[in-house]
Amino acid sequence: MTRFSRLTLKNKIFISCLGVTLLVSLIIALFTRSLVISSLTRELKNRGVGIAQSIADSARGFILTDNRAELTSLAYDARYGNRKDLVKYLIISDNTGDILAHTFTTGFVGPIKTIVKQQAVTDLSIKHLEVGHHRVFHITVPVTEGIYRVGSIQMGLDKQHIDHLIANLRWMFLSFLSMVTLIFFFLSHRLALFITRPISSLIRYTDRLTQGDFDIIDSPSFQSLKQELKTRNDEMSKLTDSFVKMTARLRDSTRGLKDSQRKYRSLFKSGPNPIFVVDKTGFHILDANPNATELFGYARRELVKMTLFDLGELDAASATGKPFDLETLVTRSKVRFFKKNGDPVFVNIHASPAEHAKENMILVGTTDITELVEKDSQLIQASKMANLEKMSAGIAHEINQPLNAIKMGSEYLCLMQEKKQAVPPKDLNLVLGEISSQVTRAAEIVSRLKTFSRKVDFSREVVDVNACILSVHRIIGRQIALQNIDLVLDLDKTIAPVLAHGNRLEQVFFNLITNARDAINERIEALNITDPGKIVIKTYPVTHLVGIDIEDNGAGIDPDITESIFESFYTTKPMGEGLGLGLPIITGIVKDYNGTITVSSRPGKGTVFTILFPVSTDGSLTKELNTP
Amino acid sequence: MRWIAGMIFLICAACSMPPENGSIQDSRNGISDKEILIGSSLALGGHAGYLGTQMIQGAMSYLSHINHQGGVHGRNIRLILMDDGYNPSQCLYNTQQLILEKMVFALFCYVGTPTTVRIIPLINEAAIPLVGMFTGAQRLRQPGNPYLINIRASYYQETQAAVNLIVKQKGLTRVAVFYQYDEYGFDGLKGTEIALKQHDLVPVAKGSYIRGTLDVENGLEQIIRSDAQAVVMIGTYDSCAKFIQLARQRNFNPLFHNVSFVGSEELARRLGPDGEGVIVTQVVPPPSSNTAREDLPGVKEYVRLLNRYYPDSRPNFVGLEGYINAKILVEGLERGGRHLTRQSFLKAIKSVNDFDLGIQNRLSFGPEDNQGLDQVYYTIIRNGQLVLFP
Amino acid sequence: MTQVLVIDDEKPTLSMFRLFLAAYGYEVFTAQSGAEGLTIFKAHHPEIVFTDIKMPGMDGLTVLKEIRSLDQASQIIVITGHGDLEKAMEAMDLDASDFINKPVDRQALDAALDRAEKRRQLPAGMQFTVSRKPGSPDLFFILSGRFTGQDPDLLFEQITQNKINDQTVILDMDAGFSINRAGIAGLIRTIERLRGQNIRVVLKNVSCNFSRLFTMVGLDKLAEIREARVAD
Repeated sequence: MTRFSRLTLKNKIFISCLGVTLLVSLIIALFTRSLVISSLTRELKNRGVGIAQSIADSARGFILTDNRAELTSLAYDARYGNRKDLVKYLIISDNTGDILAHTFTTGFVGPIKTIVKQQAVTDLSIKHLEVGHHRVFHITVPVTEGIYRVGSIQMGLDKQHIDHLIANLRWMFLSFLSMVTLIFFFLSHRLALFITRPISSLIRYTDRLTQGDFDIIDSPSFQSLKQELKTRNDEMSKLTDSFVKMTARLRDSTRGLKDSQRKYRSLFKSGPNPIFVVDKTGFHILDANPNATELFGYARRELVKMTLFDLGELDAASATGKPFDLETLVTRSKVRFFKKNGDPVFVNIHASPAEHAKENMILVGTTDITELVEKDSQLIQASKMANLEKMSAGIAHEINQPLNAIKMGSEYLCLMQEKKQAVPPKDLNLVLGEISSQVTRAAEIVSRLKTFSRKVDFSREVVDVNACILSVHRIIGRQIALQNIDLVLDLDKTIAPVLAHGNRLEQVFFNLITNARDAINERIEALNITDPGKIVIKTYPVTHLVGIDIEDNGAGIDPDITESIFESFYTTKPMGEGLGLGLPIITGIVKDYNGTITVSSRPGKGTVFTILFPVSTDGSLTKELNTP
Repeated sequence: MRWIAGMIFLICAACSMPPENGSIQDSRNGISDKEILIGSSLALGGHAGYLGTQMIQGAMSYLSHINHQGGVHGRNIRLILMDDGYNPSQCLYNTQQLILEKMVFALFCYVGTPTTVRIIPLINEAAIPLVGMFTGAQRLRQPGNPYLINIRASYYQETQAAVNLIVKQKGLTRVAVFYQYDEYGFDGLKGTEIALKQHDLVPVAKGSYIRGTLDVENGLEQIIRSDAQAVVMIGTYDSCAKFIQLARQRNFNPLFHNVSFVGSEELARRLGPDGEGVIVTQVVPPPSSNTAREDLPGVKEYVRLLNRYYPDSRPNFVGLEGYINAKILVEGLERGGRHLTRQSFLKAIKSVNDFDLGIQNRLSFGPEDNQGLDQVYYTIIRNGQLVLFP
Repeated sequence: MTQVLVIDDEKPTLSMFRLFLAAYGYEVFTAQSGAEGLTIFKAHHPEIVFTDIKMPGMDGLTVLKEIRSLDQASQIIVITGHGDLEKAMEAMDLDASDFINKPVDRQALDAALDRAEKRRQLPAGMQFTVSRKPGSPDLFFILSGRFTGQDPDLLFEQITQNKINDQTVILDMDAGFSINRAGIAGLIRTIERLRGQNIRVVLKNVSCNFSRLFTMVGLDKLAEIREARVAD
């Protein structure tokens, strides 16, 4: 069977056709032969019986008169002419089985006498015997007069007669089969060729195609094949047509591909933005366009030895908290890269998988946004500075309070000293204690100012949000408590760290807490509601994120202005108070760390600020860069 | 592929051929150390009994003579006779007996067409030679049967001669045929018609009688009515004699022409004066001559031996024929040699060529020729005697 | 004993004030909110009220207005944050008696208290007068009362009717002198006109609080400012 499957299609068809034809012919032949043989045999027997019966009729009289000469004559007549081959022998017996006449001219053969004796008593019967070397049908026909048997005609029909016929038949069938075989040998061969030759041709052409020779369909040999097959108008011609169409399309698409490759190449070369070709695993730089080398100051051959991480800070945490994989379009904004000379360059990254990649490549486009970033930070700085005036009023007012207390306390002591009056100890304690604590207060205010104005460097650290909140609580908690406001911390210990700056986060929380305090105070005073103020700070994990809620039961924010509160310089506080910059700056800070801030509020009931930061994945993906 | 072809070939080869008929055993039947058995079934009695007895006497005369002289290659020739009464069935039965039971070596001196023709299948089946038949039937001669050794000329030849005489010599054109309604008669009729056709003539009347009967009246009537000038008669002596007598009584006197099978002497004897002018063709020369012609040496020999062994019998045409048959038989046996088989015997007899029987009628066989003699003699009844003429 | 009310949302401040004022011999009331302060004022009618301006809830200016409407004569001194000129001007407009700056030093406090006491003697709501001081070589004018927007012309005429050229004019501000925003603007204008006639102006007996105020508006560049010394 395997041998068969290893044959070519042509030979398979050929052999199958031939085999089937032979098989069918054989079956038909055998069937017909058996049919014919059985009918012939039946015919023979019938004929024999007929002859025997006619002889029986003629013999009756002679048997009764025991006219052996006539009986012998009858017997021999049975074998007259062409019956000679059919009737091997004829025996006329009396009713006891003794032979009255027979045709065994040269002598009895075998046990014929016993057979005759046996058969003489039977009714019409046909037995298959072998007499001498001949197979015969021994037919016995009783001779009766009235109802009584007077004798029998026993005849031997030469089976050989039939056997000859059968043999002839066999020969005939055999020659028929041979002829059929021969004819079908050629026919099936031709058929197989007819089917497979176009296929072989097409295979050859397909091979040429895979070698890139698309113009094969225009070649004259192919055209002639096509013509030839067209006349057939069958599956082969359809196949050829499809082949042509496919080739044409393939050719066009290959051309198109080559064109787009060229286009890509030129785009790559002349692209205004630095473009890197990077491998999917490990982000090794495979290629860089001239702009990249220009911007980063490395030569191309240097770049090709580097990975993308060598160039810049690619954080593990992305906007959606997923690790830095480039399976999908990924954009990363404001990533800091470094030139060869160490200058930082801020870029937006846009990465996409390469289209015609034989290898796994990614195209990484970078847009230099250094200026923008600087402008941005300048803007923030400027806005900060611009508001320092506004802020200074507030700061000034704030610092004035402790200063006043200190001044008045110390002046009082001087006064008493001049008046040579003793200061009552109670008063002295009061004054001195007050002086001390007010100094502390003043110092905090100063440091707050300092941190606020400090220009933040861009390298981020792994920060525990809970720690920030706790430190803020240390700064402001007592104050809040003194103002009869409950400050509740509900911090989930399982939250992951985030990438940020601790002191800036503290700024954020500080700001929000003070806003919350102010809101509560506003509610208590303006609306004269006296139930105790409550600020709840809650941290909780969200998939890939850390969530912080700062909730107060203060005056709430009018729904109309929830959008505007994040705008710069918007404040509801009177002039000189409130920074007006708080929420915008907070928002800026939050965004810097790829977080989001939202507010939800019910006027008169309370407000919740919700901040979400992406978690920092394990530090191995982060490349911490030191500030240059 | 090859082994399939081989198989097919074998299968075909297995289609067996019928085995050869006969065996070497059969072909030596009837030969013992001392004897050669020869069988004959012939009309020794009945209405054709004259023919058989006369023939056998003639044959026996010679055979006894040979036996006296020590037989052939030291073996006596013993003749087993069975009477079939000119009955074909009886002849068949007798012949079966002779071949099967008596196991004779060869058959000899059969008389009559229907009888002899009847046993042809037996002869073929048994492959047994039959030498010398008192019948000119065409069927014994054509188609050639290797086992049948004819000696006398055929009926066709006799009727040809008859027609030559009647039409050519005598110039008679109205020829009728009176024949025995059996194989013998048909043969003679056919021969006559063939012969007449050569002269663009047809028989003007055909009358027949059934073998074994003397019911010649119908046939006679037909022939008389036809006003035939000559009647070619294919019959036996009894029916022919009656026919002629009745014809003469009715004043119908055409030229009566008989063939040799009629039994010439008996015919002449029965006809008496009515026999005058009746012509009989013969296949052997007259056995005795009352003429001045010198007897042929062969005839003289026959007469002598007949006289020795059958002194009461008178020489006649039939007997001479029998004698000649015996002579040929012995010649064949002689030539066959000591280690005789049927095949070698037949081969031997067939080798007889230009054999001088002493009757101025040389006997020859050949590969295609299974009839020894060809000559036909005309005899005419004069004074109750058959004489050669011209 | 004179009663003083101090209104401020800073507890430390209140404590210090209380100590100070007690040392000066006043009876001190304190209030941490404007509302509370009003309540106490209505109850006790203190002669002098110190009130912080920047307070949650009711702010200092509202308190000032309220008290003024209740009592014309009371001396209301507003406490301002350092350099909060705008608030100070507002307070003057609302007829605050005086103002002091935080951090409060003794001098300022004394000056304010002194002025308050002097003013208490004077009738309330004095009109602006300018009178020449006799027996002085320079032109010496005493300004008194409330100097408002219409008054600068009067002042100018008063001064210039004396036909002074190339001389120094001394303007003495007595205890009854108060000024409002428009007045300051007018004063500036007047001094500029005077300077245009080459008349040098000296402002004398300016309380230190006013001195700071004048400095803030840049009057110190137009005229010489001599501060009053506090007795005691």
